[in-house]
Amino acid sequence: MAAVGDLAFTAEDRVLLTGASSGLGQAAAVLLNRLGATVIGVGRDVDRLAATKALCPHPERFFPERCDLTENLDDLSSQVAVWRKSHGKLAGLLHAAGIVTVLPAALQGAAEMRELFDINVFAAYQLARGFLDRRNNRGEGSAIVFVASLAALCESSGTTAYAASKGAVVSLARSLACEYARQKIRVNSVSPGLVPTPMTQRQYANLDALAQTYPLGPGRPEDIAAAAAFLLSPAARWITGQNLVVDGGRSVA
Amino acid sequence: MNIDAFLDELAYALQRDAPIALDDELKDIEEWDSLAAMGITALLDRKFGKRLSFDDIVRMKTVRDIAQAAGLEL
Repeated sequence: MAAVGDLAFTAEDRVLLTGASSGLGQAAAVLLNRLGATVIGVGRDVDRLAATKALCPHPERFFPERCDLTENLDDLSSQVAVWRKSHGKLAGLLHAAGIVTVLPAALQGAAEMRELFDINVFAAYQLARGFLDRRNNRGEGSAIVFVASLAALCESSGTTAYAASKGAVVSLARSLACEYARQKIRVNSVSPGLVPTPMTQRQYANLDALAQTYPLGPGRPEDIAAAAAFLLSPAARWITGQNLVVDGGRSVA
Repeated sequence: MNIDAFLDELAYALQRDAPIALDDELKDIEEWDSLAAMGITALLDRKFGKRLSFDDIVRMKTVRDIAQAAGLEL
């Protein structure tokens, strides 16, 4: 592991990263790879994972793993053990996979809410449980980061179910942080403001106009990736149970 | 789906208590805003199998335009 205080990784620092094939997850995969980590990139589409690998400056340290995280949620924590056996003990988990739906609450019933919670919350929890199994992580200094959302904290008309799911993610990080501090494993979340990605561009019809409401202007996936990499790194060794808001000043405007 | 059922669906999507008529102008409907337009996009997709963009919906002028997009015989 890199020295205390370093925002750097070694090849022995294996990070299990979901949502690696696009958006924030892809940006984080490329950044972590550039900073020296080995990235086990999980996604549903083999071709898109290959595209992420091609973007990595050290492609020999990016290992694509095809998996639909919601296909078998009950066994997802066991799947972490399978990946550990293939690649070695894990130093980090970054759950960047997730979905957003922008619709009036009247049109988002239990089925739509369940779909959001499956990937945003239940997959996060199951992956964390697998990661936190002592057999699967490197122990002291290991870290988890969940991608939450500014929607968990601020007004978010049209994203009620999404906001609730991301609020749950923030709470997951806080409680797991307490439970695993004794093992010196840290758990945090990052709450991005609205960042143009293929997913948000599909869901937000007025994305460009919304981006203009951010004091620092529109964010980029790389901005969120940097925050996640920091929280995974030894530089954040004394930070746990926190939710780092990365929103270009939107929440304080 | 007949016109009355369609108007009921529309009223539910817009959460509108007052009656809606085919020739109502969307801009005059109090509940009509960008979020409502996104709701109509979803309604047309889910209930009528019609995939329209948000911009398609925003360009519509009347309730009749939505009904025609849904493929109703008017």
